[in-house]
Amino acid sequence: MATDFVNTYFPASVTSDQMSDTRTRLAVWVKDHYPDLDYRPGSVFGDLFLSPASELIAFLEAGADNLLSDLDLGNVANGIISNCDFITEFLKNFGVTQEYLDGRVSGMIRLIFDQDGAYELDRGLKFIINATDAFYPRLFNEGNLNILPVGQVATPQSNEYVLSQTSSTRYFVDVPVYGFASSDTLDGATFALNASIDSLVSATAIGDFSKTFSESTLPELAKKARNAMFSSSSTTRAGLASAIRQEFPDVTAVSVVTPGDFEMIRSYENGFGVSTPAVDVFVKTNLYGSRAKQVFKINYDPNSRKFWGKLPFAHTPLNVYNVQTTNTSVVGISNKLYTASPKAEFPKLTSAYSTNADYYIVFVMPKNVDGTDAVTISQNSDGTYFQYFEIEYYCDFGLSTISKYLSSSEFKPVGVSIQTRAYIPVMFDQYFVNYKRDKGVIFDTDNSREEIYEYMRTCAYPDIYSDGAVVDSVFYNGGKALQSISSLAFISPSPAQYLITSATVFSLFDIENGAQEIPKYAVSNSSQFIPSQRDDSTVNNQLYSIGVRNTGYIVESASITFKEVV
Amino acid sequence: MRGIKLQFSDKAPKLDLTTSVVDSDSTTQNVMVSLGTDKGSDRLFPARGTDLLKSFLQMGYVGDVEAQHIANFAALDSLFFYRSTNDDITLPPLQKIYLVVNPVTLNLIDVAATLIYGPILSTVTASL
Repeated sequence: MATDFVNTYFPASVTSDQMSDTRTRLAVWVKDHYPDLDYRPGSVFGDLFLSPASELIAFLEAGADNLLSDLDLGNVANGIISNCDFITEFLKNFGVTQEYLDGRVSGMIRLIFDQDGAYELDRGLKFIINATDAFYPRLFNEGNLNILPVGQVATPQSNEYVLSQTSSTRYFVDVPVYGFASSDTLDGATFALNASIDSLVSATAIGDFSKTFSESTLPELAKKARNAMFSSSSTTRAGLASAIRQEFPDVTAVSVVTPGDFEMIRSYENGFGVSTPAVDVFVKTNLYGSRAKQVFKINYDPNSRKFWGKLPFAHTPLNVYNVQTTNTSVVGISNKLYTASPKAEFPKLTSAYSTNADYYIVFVMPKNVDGTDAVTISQNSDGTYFQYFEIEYYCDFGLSTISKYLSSSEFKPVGVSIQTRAYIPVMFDQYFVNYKRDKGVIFDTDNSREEIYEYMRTCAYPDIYSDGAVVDSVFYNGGKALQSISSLAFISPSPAQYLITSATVFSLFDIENGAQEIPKYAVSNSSQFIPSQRDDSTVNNQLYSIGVRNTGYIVESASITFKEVV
Repeated sequence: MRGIKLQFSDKAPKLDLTTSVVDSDSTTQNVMVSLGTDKGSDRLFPARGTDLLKSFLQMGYVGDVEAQHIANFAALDSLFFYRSTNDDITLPPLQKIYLVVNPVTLNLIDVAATLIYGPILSTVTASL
């Protein structure tokens, strides 16, 4: 049956002006084709044919507008819809179907083993939850999922993941997965597997799983389709951002930095004035600012009485929060974090906040109050000494997956050096909201705190920081006015405090000798929340650039303090 | 301009498909239709129509002076409306409308209209 155009697209009414306008245009047409015919009001033709026809055509024109509106996904995305059935079919042209999107979910599963070693897992391995929901390893390269022993290095453009430690006898790897779920999969959920894996102790969810498309309304689907149509490739700045948003729904911000941007420091112009092709992609997922705990085996040098060693973080660190012994007998160990960039493609601090940077830790033997060593050391079979320490650090659990995706052989742009980085965090110890309040008015600080926390957590280029959001929160929660925002915070080009200058690192001497201190910039009020710092000078030449396109924020909810100004 | 003729001689206008009206006669016929149209009843042309029928048939007859007063207003309304909708500059311009109304019964009035197009005089009577 033909489409019922009248009942589907005709509006409830058209205005007199619309009908009159239509009649005027029809009259011009009639006059042009039948110049002798009297079409004026009062004439038989004018009143009995032209005026009713004008009304009908006015409805047809409005109906056609509705049909064209349905073809414009911008209107559909704004909820202006005439024919839901048509749009549902229309969206299939872009590969967007409701049935498919409703259930597609992605996330990360932590596999814990009780033995260090190499494991090969079939890429068809199924993680099962809720009896029927199944997830599969999300691998961006050919082949199976290969898990390597602690301390090894994953090959670029491979499906290799390296084991880390949660304790001296437990080893873990976080594997990205995708699947179809009938219900929510929450942080800590336990999975069963369809195959037996040696030494596997458990498989649990890291963070809440994200639906690839969280909403299934037609407007939301239309938005996704528009994003897909806009461009989904690595050939343009907007296209790259669009592709990432499509593939990783839990991404809250993407900023693509290219040659010519203030924040791009890896590229330079050659003698012909041509920039080397380099792209830094700054991403932030829902899990930005999460805290991860990991156990590291750290060497001990009895001569200098220092612990030292490389820290193969399972996730890119944004800031080290705490260093302690595994039995918590000594916590808050004062330490120095060093960084080096082993790849020439990402020199010095250009690799900070990415998977391309290496980190080393050095700290002196903690002492008891009586002056004795607070940490018992163990001995390796070769006579060297070590101990296990637990390090808690801020990270973004989603970063490594996106990094693997962008560097995969399928996606990586030809001839372009691409690097995935986390937004450089402004680390807040305290975030003060100084406000005024009318007497007798209750100011809901709890609600305002949550709003400000959520805003700061997700705020990043292109939606850059504005005091306006905090002003709104204060005002609508009962405050009279926001007087100022002050903070105890800093931003640094690297989570480490020192940059290693040695070409290779084999010893404590290599780490410490000639190391440069990395600056920390204080952030004391909101006018400094979008910093602008760059070092490509010939003095230190640490190669970093912090600007509007790559700044993020990490603030704990409890660190937001409201101070009433009288 | 050419249109189908309407016969106004009976109680209600009738189509005369065998006869056509042209130019000023066609205009006169259109004006007569507008005279008999209630003001505000045409959604496309809100300014079209007069209060002629409403005044006589709903309010009743109130005397000769009042009747002429109503007829004059109806003539003016029709004239202005015609001028606002006529876009045929080849026709002689309608300058004046004189109207004489005679109530026949409570449901019927006789209208005698004289329309002046420069040197052309068009006279028509109609029962509305």
